[in-house]
Amino acid sequence: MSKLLNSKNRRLDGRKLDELRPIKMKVGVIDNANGSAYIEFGRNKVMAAVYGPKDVHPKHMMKTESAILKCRYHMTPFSTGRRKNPAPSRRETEISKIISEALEPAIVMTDYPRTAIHVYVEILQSDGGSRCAGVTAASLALADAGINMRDLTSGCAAGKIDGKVALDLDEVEDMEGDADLPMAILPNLEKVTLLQLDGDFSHKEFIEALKLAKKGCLKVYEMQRNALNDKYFGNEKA
Amino acid sequence: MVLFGETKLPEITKKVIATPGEKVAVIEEFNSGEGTYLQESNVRSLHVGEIRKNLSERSINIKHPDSKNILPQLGDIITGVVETAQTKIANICIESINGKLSKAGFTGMLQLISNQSSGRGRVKRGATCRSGDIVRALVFSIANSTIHLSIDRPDLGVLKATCSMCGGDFVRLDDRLKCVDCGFIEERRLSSEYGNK
Ligand SMILES: [Zn+2]
Repeated sequence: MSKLLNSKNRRLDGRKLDELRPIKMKVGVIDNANGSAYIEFGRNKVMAAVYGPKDVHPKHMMKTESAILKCRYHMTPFSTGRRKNPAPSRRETEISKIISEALEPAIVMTDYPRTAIHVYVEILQSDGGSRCAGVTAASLALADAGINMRDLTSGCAAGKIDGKVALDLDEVEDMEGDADLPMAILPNLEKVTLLQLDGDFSHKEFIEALKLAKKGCLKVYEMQRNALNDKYFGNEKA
Repeated sequence: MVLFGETKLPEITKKVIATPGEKVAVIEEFNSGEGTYLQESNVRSLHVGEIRKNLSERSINIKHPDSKNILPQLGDIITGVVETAQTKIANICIESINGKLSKAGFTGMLQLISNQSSGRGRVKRGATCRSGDIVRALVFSIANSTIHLSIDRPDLGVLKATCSMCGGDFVRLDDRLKCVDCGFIEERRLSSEYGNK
């Protein structure tokens, strides 16, 4: 019962199986934060802001040898079709932790002992793959804050719809599809820092999806680099 | 399974700007300088910035366009506001580091009865500083997770204070301060630049 793909393997929004949704990125959008970024990833609209490195409160959370990273992923009440309760849900708490773990390996935490770095990811409008969009935006905001980083973190998901492996599922594909595999990588260091799987893959499909997600992450990385270059060097292209 | 074997990221040879993680050189060509780090034999960028090659030191540096993450380091000169002043210590909220504004809200600790060159007896006689004073100090230690400050130098100390009785402005009388409104005389450990703006 094929419904997400037409006979030519085109998706409901006209994309090919290995095609990303339209993506826009802008760095440095919030004056009051140390660093910020705005991303549109399909219908996702995500704002990320970074404060710090700054003083740690409460003091007992302080680490003498490194910074601590505090990350909050939050969906605004108007981000979904039905009004979302603004109180953090279990899902948001989980994603906050996932995003924090995806970002931390990229940050040189030991360069900022006795400090806290706060990352706020605000989903203004949600679509499928908001955690990957959130990680990507947060990483840009950290870079914008000038925090020493070993690499950027770039996120993108792959999945399975109507039995076929596809890149970057939107909300309908995510709900009606067979599997979703969100991923984030450190593209230069060739490390995976986020990998989750919701659904079923055969071993062969899993490998295929993993490679496809990585390809998507690398495309996202290119766009992140361009967005940073645009902010700091205007038209001088990398 | 090899996930990254065939990864092709753009080769950087004649680039002038870098983003975090980008390979800017190999160690055989250049040493890892400021704004870079060494990963195996690759010199990589730590932040967004311009690539600067120092040929005499054979090092590569990445200059950030506007570096704003400044943590108080040993030897830095800070300016801050005295939050609380007790008999032995004062807590200072750091507002600027080496002349650069800092919004991070770090707190430094100033030991009030220290071995200051002006002599113990004299320091003990009056207050070194009071809450609300603006102070310039030197970071002399960051041991035990605390930013220890010192004002043991003529240009360091209180830069600006107001009368603790009425809040009025002071005029300086050598090393003491007299309120222009109520005439109250107070003592502070004044910087040689007290009142200069
Ligand atoms: Zn007075």
